[in-house]
Amino acid sequence: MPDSELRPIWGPSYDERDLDALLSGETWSTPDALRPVESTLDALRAAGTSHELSDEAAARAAYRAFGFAPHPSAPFPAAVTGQHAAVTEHMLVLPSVFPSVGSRPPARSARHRHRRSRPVAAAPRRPRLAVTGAAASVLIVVAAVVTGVVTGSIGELTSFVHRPAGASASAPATGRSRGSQAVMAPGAARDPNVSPTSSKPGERPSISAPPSARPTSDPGTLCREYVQDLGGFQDGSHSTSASRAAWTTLIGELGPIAGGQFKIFSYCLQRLSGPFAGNGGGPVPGGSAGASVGGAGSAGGAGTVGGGGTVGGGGLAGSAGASGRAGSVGSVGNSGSSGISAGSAGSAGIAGSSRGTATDEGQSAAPADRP
Amino acid sequence: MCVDTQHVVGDDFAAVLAAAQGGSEDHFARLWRDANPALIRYLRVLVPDAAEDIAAETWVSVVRGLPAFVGDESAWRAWLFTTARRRMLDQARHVRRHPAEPLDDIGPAEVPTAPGAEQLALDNLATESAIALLGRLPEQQANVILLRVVAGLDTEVIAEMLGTSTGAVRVAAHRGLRKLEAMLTGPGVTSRAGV
Repeated sequence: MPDSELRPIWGPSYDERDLDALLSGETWSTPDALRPVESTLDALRAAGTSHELSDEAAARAAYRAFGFAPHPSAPFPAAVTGQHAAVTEHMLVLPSVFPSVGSRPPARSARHRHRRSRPVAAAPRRPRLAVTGAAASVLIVVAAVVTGVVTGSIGELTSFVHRPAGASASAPATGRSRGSQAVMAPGAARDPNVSPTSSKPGERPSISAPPSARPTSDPGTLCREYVQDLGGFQDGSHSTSASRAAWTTLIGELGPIAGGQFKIFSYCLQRLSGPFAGNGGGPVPGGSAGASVGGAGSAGGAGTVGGGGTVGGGGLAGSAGASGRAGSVGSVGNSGSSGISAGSAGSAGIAGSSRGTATDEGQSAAPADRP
Repeated sequence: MCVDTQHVVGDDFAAVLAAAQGGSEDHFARLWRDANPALIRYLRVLVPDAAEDIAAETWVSVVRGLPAFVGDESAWRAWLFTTARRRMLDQARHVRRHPAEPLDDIGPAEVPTAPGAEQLALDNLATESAIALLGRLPEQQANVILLRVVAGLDTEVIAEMLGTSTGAVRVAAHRGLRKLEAMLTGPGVTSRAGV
């Protein structure tokens, strides 16, 4: 703003104050040079024309369209609520639950439809493990016997087990019971469970325990039962659940003793090899005790050495007739072999191979029995 | 002859605004009649081809924000013209993105004309002449003069709207007035604009 109140005598005849006055609408002191501008600005400030006010209906429609009620006195929120209420009256309310839906099973998503069912919980594995172990043991024995790899006491053992009680020619062959008798008889001297009532020649020893029952948990007895039951897998006597349970119990008892289920066979082999190691001739002096099958088997060697006991020696030699080695030994005891051979026919191949080895055992054991 | 369009509502503005916010259509119409002529004039100077359209969009925006508006009449006008300016910028951006194609196939006889245009021109010859004159000014100068004269806003409010200083607003206004005076007093131009 200029300091002097005097207007310049050259140039425009107005200053910034006059311009500010024009912009503010103060027209009482407008210079003459600004009169046209003043008139123009007044025309801009003129009242609205009909054309400028022709769109009032559109403005009112926009006002109503955005939620304002047409009724002047109606409050804004109530107007909005009333409008929504009017809409609600004409709404078609569909039922939320259809009648047939109740009987339908709940819908499942596709993901759940294709979900696999859980597998059934696995059955206890211990019985299976025991049976599998037993079967493996049997297979090992069978394979060893068939191939002839194992020599020594095993052949004699199996032959000893399945040999019918025909160690005595007069005694009928009754399978297992006779086997038990055959096993227990030679060990009677050291087996506390077996109490031979008579050690006299010509007398048949009596057995205190029942033939098929396991009288005690003595390792030797258990091993004998184990060996006997091994044969049961071949002749089918373990087809019943009771025999399988007894087998499982036997395995359970022998397992801790032998140091494991898979060591039972070797443990029993070592345990039962004693009777074939030269003790057979002991209780059957002179071969007169031919009633004892086991004694007769072992006594074969003894008979060979002692020259007596022809019945016992014949029993073993007769059953081992198929083997070349056994045949040579069996030739030593050549009497009374026919009945025993017939009785051991049920032993099948196991006995056939075992006989030879058993004969070897008996043969090797013979020097120990020598006085 | 000078009719002030800046304070039509006056002291009743607060009551009218409250009624319009409460749902009174008549009170809203009063606010509209007060501000719409100035708005149209402002837009006709700056965007002559789309003044009515932009004005309609401006009022739609105003109606949307009306319940939340708080302020006096000066603030009301400032809000209204600020909204109009934003819509105007949107329109200019839209025109740049979607250029219009000339209607070559339509003859001059088929072009629709606004009804009563002659009558409108006769009734408001001075206003039309004034708008035409301000349209010849640079945009910034015309914008400042219109906001100052038509909208009745203060220099500070205009400076805030345009994003500049009050001194720049004053300078632009003074330059515009001087240029307008030169146009009016030049050869072939009568001393009174539009008359």
